[in-house]
Amino acid sequence: MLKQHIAKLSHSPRNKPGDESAALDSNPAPRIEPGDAPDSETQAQASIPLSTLSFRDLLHEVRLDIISRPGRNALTALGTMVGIAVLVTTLGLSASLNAQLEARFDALTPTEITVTSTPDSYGPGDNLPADAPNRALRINGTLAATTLTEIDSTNIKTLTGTPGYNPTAANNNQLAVYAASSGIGQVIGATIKGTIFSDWHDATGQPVAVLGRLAAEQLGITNLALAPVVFINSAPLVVVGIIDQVQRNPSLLQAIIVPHGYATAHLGVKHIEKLLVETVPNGADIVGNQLGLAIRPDNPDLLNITIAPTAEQTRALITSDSQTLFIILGIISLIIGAIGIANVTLVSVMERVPEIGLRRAIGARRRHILAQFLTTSLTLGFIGGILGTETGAIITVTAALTQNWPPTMPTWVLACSPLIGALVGLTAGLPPAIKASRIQPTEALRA
Amino acid sequence: MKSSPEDSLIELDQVTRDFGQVKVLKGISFTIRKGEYLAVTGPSGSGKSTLMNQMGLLDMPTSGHIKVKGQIIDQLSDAQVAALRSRTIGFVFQAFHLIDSRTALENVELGMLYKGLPRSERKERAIAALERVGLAHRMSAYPTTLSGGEQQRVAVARAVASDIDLLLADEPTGNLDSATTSKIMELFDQLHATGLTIALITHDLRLAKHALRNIEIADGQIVRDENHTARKEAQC
Ligand SMILES: Nc1ncnc2c1ncn2[C@@H]1O[C@H](COP(=O)(O)OP(=O)(O)OP(=O)(O)O)[C@@H](O)[C@H]1O
Ligand SMILES: [Mg+2]
Repeated sequence: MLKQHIAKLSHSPRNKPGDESAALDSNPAPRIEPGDAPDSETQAQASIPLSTLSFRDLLHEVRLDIISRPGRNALTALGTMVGIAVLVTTLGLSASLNAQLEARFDALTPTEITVTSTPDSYGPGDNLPADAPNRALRINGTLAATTLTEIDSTNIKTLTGTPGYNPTAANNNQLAVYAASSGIGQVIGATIKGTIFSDWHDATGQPVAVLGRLAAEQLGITNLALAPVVFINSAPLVVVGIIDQVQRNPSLLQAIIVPHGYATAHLGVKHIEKLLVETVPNGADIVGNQLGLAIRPDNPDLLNITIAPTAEQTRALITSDSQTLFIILGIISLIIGAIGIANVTLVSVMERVPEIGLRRAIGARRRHILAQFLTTSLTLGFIGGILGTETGAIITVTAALTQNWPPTMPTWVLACSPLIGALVGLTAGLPPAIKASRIQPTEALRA
Repeated sequence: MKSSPEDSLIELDQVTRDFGQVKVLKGISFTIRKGEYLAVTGPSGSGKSTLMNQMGLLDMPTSGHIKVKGQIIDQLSDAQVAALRSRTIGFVFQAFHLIDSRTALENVELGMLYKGLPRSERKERAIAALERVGLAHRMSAYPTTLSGGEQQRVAVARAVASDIDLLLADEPTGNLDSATTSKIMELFDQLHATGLTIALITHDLRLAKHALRNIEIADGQIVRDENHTARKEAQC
């Protein structure tokens, strides 16, 4: 009787039998789907408490899953680890390379200013006063200043060194002769044997000279202890120093430098050709702006002030190029890692079909299966991410030190990489996890 | 048939199940009442396992209705069916379906994972269930180190650890030798004696004799439904 009652209750069309995911197809059946929606069951049966899986239990299951297949899961994590390690290494190395380039460019940032007279209709004027170096030195940020004037070769009739017995020999070596003030050594960053002449030598026009290393070699002068002398136009000048190395103006290594005072008195120099100013790092712009007024408060326009060009643009170019390349490399290796996770997870799902069926039979909902596989692959990705970050950091430091680059690692890389690993695990694990969650218990248990 | 509807545990009403063109179940109706010990017999391919999937709410009928404790399950969402299934029915399979990487105890605990019980209670119940099936001493053994009979005992413990109403066993001794089979059957008899409702699916008529009621199906239909209470008692 009861049977008949039920039989008459309904003959509504049914969903595809046995398919808990039936709502995923378009059959407008009376049953609620997909599987797990706890809503919209307002009938008497709504009081049935649904199956649950606490987060703690989920993590416990995932932990057991992971430790039960240590080899395979280690391999899975390894894929992500390699990908993340490549990413971290490339980002770290590019950061280190950048730091290195930056350091190098900092060394090249303009600290050098050249001041010349603005040429006018009267020819090269005498717009630079003799006290220009002192005026420049009053500006904050100036490290050193000197005048530098190349002496016209027609004014140099003869030039010879001590060992060349003939004081009247011609300037066979074609050595350039410059007039400068005492700041020249500092301005060109010279390493000097002996000394540069002093302000007093300059002011009083003393017959002294400083030789560039190559000039000294050509003149046969090597030993300052012998008080060597060079003869310019037959007049002896005592060599007080030899410039061994310079950081700027390497042409001076092949020149003879005499005090400006001597050059005006004896070598026909009538005006100062240029003023060289050396500033603190990055100080060239500020000092340069003030130089005109400091030297010629009456008419700064008479001066032509040139700051060495910057390398900013070059740096920007190198930086972005290298980084793009590195990031592409890292992403490619991450994709490879992700494919690895997806494959291993899929194999794992296929192997565990009966277990999945059993879990469904004992009450697991599709979302519980999904969550279990997703959390597992996410965890493996996360572990791989952490290990990869460590590895990448170690490789970066090692490689950077080998290259003499300052090891540099952006903080965001360290912070994000494990999360990227987790994201890779999550994404790669999603398709197999969905597949697992769709496994029908009846088919899974038939084995 | 004279007992009150409250006694009804699972009620099948004109259940059919087709796989494509193949009609495997052709209108099956019967009721399992609380405390029954039922055997479903029939030749291979007659549809026993298909029927078990229906009784166990693992599968939905193509037509007809299934009632569990008075609730018509096609009015329930799948999540509710899953919850009802896990609370009402315990399964034992021919292939045991134990997880090899987990100990006997962990396998039994797993049976209660989705039931919202605290972990400590799951463990207590699992230990009790293993004691019930006589495996308290092999609690921390892994399935691969257990004999087939022991593995099936673990599976039975997993099924009965929580308060289920019906134990559904599909060829539970299919993988076991005859000595072990009779041990497992003894266990079923004991479990029934403590009040558990049991439905045993088997093609082996000798095993079916342990049950008090035999349903025989052939070609997807019930051909016999008999109570043997008297005979069973006589045997004892
Ligand atoms: N998912 C399915 N798809 C198609 N056919 C199926 C499916 N499941 C079962 N069948 C068919 O239904 C029939 C009955 O199968 P079932 O497993 O229920 O038999 P059984 O009585 O349990 O047999 P056995 O004693 O061998 O276990 C068989 O012919 C089988 O091929
Ligand atoms: Mg079967």
